[in-house]
Amino acid sequence: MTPHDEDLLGPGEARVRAALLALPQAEADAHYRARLRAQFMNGAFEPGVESVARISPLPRSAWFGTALAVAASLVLAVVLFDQGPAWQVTRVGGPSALLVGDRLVAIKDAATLSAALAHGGHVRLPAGGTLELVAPGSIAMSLSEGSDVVIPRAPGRWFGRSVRAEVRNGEAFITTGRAFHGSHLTVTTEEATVEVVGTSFAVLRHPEGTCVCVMEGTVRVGPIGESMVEVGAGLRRFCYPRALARPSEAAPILGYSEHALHELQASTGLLLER
Amino acid sequence: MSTRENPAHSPGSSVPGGAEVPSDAVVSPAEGASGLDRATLERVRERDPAALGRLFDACFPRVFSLVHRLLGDRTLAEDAAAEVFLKVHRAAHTLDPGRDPSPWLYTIATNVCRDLWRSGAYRMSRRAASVHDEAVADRLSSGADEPERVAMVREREALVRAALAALPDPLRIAIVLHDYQGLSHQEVAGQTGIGHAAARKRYSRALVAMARLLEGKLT
Repeated sequence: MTPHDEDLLGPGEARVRAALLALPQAEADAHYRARLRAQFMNGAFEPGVESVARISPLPRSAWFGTALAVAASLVLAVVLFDQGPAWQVTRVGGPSALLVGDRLVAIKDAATLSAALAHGGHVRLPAGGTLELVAPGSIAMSLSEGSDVVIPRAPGRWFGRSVRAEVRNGEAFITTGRAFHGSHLTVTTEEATVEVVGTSFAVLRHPEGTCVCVMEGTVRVGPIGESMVEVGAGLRRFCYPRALARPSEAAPILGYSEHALHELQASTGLLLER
Repeated sequence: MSTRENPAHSPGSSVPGGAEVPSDAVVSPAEGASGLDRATLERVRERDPAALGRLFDACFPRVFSLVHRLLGDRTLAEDAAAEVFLKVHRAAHTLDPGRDPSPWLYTIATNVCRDLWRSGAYRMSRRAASVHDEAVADRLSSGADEPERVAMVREREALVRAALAALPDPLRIAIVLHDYQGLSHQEVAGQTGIGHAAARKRYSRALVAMARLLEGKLT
């Protein structure tokens, strides 16, 4: 430290420096020193002198890398195990093909269809076409002819428990299984939002509006942007297009919806472990 | 051996387990901190026992002092010093007899201490008295009578040692090399592989950190 440096020291630092310089110098034990000198001269060091190298753990960078790898593995494991079941096509009917996204898939090719819809997707059915899908244990869905529906991925085991479907046109009949418990499904149409926590219901989307039929449990239904009302089992709620500015109406469930939902339950009951 | 006036280094000397020793400011070894002449250092390269003995005698006190200050523990310092001389013995053939070997030894010693700091053994041994020991601090600032003076000085030293041990490793190295080994900031910079300005700044930060740790405890 130059005199100039010392001048720059504050009183606290100067006091510390004086205290540091006042510390007595450590003297090595004479026997130790003599022993080490002899070892150094002869190159015959005691075993264990290289203790530092032996007891040194992994360098910090290696620890960091290891921690990073473990964290990445954990994240990967969680992501893999969190994935909900893949959709399986259990029934398909109608003319030659349907659209999954922008891809035309032959109706007869159930394997390709299942693979294309394994994690959900946008599906459009032609006139006369029908499709039934099951995410085993979690959720089943049946689509009627001419449906234009965005199918959600199945809810995750721990994360991503809220999923969202969209019925742009046509009819979707939905029932849930045991593994759906704790999940949250929201179905939207142009006119309405339907919130579900476990039930059997149908969302029928037609040019006149959206009809939500509830066979079991309760769903919450509301016109887009308006407050939701609860719709219980055996009831339906009809939401009119916004342009009509007409309030939603309640009525008993439609017979054919109830029938279709019973059919879906019977068809998928085993896979849903109901 | 004062190295402040003798900042000689060995550019060709490879430091076992550490950085290359910087190559500026070459001086004759006779003028160096070790006081060893070229012929002796030539024989050190050949591991001549007598020459090794002279090197040991010339350098051991400084090396031991350095590792003891850095580690703050006598037992660890003995282990570290032994390891330093083992490494020096193994790397003796790389010694440049045209240069003072002191910087080379300091670099090896600092690297050995760094290895120890990373080891579990060092963490387990860090049981120095706490600078936050209120009882000790109270007694130091209370102005006790003469019979307690010696004990107070000891306690004060213990506090300063504990504060030094509590510093982050780079700051402790800065203080020990500059204040105890007598290296200039330029030499410290060369030893630690940082720039001159950074070495000065690090030393200044170390003093500020010490002052904070010892605030109100040094009368």
